[in-house]
Amino acid sequence: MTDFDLVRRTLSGDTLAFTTLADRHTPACLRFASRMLGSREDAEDVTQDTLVRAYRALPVFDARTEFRTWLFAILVNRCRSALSVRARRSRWMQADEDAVQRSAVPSDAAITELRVELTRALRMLPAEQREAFLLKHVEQLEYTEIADMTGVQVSALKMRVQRACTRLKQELREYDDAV
Amino acid sequence: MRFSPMENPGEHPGGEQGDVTGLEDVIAELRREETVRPEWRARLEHELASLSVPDGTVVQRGHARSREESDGRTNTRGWHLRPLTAMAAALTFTVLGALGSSTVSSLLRARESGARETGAAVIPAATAATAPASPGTSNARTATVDGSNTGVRFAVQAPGVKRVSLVGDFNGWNPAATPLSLSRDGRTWTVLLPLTAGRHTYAFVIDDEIVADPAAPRSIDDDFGTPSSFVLVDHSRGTMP
Repeated sequence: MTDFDLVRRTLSGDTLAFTTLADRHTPACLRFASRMLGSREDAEDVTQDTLVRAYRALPVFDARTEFRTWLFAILVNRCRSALSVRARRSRWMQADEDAVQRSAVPSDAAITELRVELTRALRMLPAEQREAFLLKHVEQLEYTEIADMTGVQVSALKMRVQRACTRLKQELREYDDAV
Repeated sequence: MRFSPMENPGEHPGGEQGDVTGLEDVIAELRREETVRPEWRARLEHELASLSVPDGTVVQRGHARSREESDGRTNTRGWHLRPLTAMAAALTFTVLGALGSSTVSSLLRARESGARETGAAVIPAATAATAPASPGTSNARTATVDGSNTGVRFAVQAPGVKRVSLVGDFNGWNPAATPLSLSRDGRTWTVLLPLTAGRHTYAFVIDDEIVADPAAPRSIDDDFGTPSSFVLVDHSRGTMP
């Protein structure tokens, strides 16, 4: 059953249909939000908020839009809001301990170390570069899709992704040299 | 695990994808899906169950195009107005804290007047909208402040359209929930809506097309890719679109 079918069924009163939709997209939402916010706990909050907002707004879902793109548009904005709130509080939720504790693979020390280092490296990127990089290379969206959901021009997105790649390599090389 | 970034990344401009050479392992790790904790899922399910079921049909914005015709690469912001609706939208979209007035300026005058007449800081326009007029008074401007009885009149001039409704955070963005009624002039659609104090995001749906109110501030929290405006309802200060 396609996402669109599930949207229609939800709007017809089938409450379980949306649960199916949520189950289908939650892992990707959690992944993006975790990488974006650097905290699994914050990612869960933002993802829940996103899904609830999507559920409420379902009657205005545009049938021509991919549900995932629409959902990610909400998620991206929720993450931006969360980062904005965090900036106002002038703090960064340390992700390392959180990631280790909640990681699905806590027993693999090398993987855990990598994830911690990746979290640190991602954190070093400006938020707009991190967002563009994750949407492009982790969520594997097309630039046109990202432009639609973020309101940023394709050319600017390409530049952000390029700069993010360069910066990530620099950050990780420094780490590699250090170990 | 060691990373293998390029030696001189600055010398390689990369393609439009960004040069990911040396980041393959990193990207593979970042793509690992996050597991969903059962406790979290139960919490989500509980919250969804507490919400009313969204009611409505899927809105097809802009020029009608079936999903089958769509190439799946659609622009969520790329809706277009039909000419008739565009003309209607261009005429005026006005959210009024209803005082029986038809313009914002008269609304503002009424507020100022009310403040002088009553000695209150400002007559809350939203309150005045639904507060019963005093006996022998044909005008709601003399209404007194009553925070428990509030309403905001939304009005839009849209001649020649079949239906207009209001969607917003107050009705779950359900286009079937709040239809506007056509006034006797045959062009003005209105609805009086009780709203709680606070910020409300809304848009009009004119013949199935979602249109923000150009006379009101655009919502910066436009996170559905949907054109929308917002109105502030403050029972102590009036309604401020």
